[in-house]
Amino acid sequence: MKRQLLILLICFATVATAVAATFSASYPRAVAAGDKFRVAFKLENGEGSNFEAPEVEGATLIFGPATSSSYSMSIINGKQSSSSSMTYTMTYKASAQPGTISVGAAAVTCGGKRMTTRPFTISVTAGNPHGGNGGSSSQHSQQPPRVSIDDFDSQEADRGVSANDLFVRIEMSRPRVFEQQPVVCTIKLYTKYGISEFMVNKQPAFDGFLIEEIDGQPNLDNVETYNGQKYHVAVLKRCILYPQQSGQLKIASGEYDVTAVQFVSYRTMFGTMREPVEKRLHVTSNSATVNILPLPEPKPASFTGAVGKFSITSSLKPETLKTYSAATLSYVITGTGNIKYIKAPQVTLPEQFDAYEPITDVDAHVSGANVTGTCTAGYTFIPQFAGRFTIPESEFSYFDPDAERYVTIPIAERVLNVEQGKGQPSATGERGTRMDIAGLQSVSASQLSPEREPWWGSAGYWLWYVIPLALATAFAIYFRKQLRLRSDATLMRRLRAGKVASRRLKRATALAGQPDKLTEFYVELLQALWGFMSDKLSLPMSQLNRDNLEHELLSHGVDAQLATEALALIDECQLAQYSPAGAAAGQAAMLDRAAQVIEQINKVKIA
Amino acid sequence: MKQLSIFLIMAIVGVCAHATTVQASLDSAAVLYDRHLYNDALAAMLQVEQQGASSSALCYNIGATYYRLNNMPLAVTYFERARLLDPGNDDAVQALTITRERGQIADDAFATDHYMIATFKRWMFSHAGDTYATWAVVAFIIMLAAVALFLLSDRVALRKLGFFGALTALVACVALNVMASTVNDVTDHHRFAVISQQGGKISAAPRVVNDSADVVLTLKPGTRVLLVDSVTTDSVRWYAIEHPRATARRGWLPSTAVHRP
Repeated sequence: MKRQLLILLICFATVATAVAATFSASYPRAVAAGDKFRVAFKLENGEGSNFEAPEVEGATLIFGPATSSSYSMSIINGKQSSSSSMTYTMTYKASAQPGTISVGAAAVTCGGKRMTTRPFTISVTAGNPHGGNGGSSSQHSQQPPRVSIDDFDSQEADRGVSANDLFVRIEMSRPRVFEQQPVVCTIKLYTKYGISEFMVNKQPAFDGFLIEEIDGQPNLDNVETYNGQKYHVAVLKRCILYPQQSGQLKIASGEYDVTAVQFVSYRTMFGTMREPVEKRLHVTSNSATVNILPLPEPKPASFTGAVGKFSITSSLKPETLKTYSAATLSYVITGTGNIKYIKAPQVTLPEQFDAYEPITDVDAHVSGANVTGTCTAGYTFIPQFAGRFTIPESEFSYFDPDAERYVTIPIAERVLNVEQGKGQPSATGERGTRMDIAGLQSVSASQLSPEREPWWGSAGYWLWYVIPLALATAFAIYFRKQLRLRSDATLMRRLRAGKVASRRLKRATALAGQPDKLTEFYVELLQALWGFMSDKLSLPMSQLNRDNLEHELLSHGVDAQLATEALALIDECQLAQYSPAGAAAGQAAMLDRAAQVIEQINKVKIA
Repeated sequence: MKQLSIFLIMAIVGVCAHATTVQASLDSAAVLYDRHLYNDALAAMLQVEQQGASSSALCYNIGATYYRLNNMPLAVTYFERARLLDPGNDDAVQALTITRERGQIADDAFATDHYMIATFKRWMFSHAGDTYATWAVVAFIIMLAAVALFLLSDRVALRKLGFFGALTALVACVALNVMASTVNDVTDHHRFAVISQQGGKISAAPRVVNDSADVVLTLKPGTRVLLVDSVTTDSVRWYAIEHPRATARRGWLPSTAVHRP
């Protein structure tokens, strides 16, 4: 039992030791006088707060506390362990005199518990004259080591940045050129320090030049030796300048804001450490002067401003010319010089050709201090006639600045044979656009008019409004009238009385002549007559009888004789209905009389 | 009665003879043009034109002949006239572009409009006034039909269709009439001219240019200018023109220095 309790206590103690927070200081035992050093206060296995820096005698606090923390976890054979630490780093500068630095206790609160370090001392020894990163002012007054791009120790922040260590330089490819002769101007930044920021305040002025910028190299990738010293170099600007006037032309200085990076070095127990320090500088470049010589006189008549060394060739596409088909005569000027500003040579095309403005295409690039390339001048034309034509000989002149003389290249006469082509004088050129107008349009005398007479506004035009509007109005009136009529049932019956009676008479006619249907015939005939009277007089059948019919007919304006005839006809029909014998012979006559009576009464306008 | 008949016959014969002569001139002009005898072709066409007869096609043909003779200002003038008489004459529109390109003649006299307005105007003036008039009549008839549908139909949906259709057609009819009127008005009373071969120096005042200081702007022959005023001094008619490139925007030209399309 005692043994088991002992093992448990040991295990507990082990675990308690593993997780217990510790707070300790690490520092150099000795530092050189005037030297900078660091003291690190490390809290392990705990989270600290309220750090209190120690009191220090014999050194000056430069920077701190700088806090850093770390955490690590490991699993070994299934066993997990972890540790964490917080470090408070203080940077001091030792006094200039040898002696002792006393560092008091630093304190921190961890888990509600205040933890402190033990006070300690650091010996200050005499300064090292070759250390480079410390020392007394008397040491600085001595000749400092030269700044080197390969030695960071030489790039310390204590020293100023001299004009030899960082500068901007304008370089010209030639100090002396002729007018129009291209000269390459390069603006470079030379520095022995790293650069964190660069801003252009004022660009150099290129008065008197035509300027064409070419790609620069703004990164500090290159290393160049200048005046026996190595520099990182960035090409800030690179351009080709074409002088437009003779004399001394000056390129004014540019102004730049540059942030250089120097280093502060510290000695710690882990060795020398460096921190970058930025220093903002205002840098002015040099100015450059170029002596521009005038082009000698007299100039050849064919000289159009080409300066350099050139050759010229010509070509014709297509080789076989046909009328109304576009062709291009091209002159290709190849060489070195102001190729971009060469004017196309004058070419006199035959008058029988439809000629277009020449199209110039330049392909130039910088080669060393020169501009090299080709200038192609294309003369597009459309022959309008078949035959043999001549483009007279001509010349191309340029000024050779090396030989300092004009060179004239003769362009030989060119004979063009044009064959008769098909089609009309309209074509589509290489430029993808229609290059000629269409042919004549057909005109007939009947299409010609003395003056333009627009249809709009004429009487014929407005008739197109009036006639449809009138038709529509008439249709609307008719339609509305029809609607009104249809809505009046009495009127409709009266108007349709004749038609209805005719239909019944037709049915009666169909029954006529059939001896077995004599009664039906008269019934139908009577219905036709009574129905007609009812519709025409707008009286219900139930209200009509033999007694009031005559009165109603007379009162509605029917002639008395006609009314009597109607009554007589009805009487005869009723008589024949009930005594068919002998009535068969009079069927046709009855039908005719009934039709006449109905027709005549129907003609009467009933009020 | 007999005399009247003779008169009528003679009149008809005269008209036919005149038409035959005009047709012969036009035909001969076409043949001369095909044979590249442009001066003779031009003379034949101008002869027809001087008789007071004109058409878009004839103006285009005269412009094409001037183009062949390398007289770009008159070519532009006649192509413009052809376009005015028939905005749908695509050959004339294309010939104007080609002539200006070949003669390197800028056409910026009317470049002051906003882009949207300029686009609308370009679209509007791409059709003849009578085309809009035809569309307007069609819109009117559609409107009548829609009104009939609205009045006669029993179904609500058809009545709605008739109402809104009639309203839309009415608006379209009015708008098309306005456009037809505008296009015809611009065609008949256009205010632009083309700088002739001789002219081009725009003076500050309506007087003969003696000093270069008097010249406010020099325009290339063939350039289109907007006429804004005219005066007659010493029996010479002067036009006031406006051009965006002129410093004071306004200058003066004698009537001999411009062609009216």
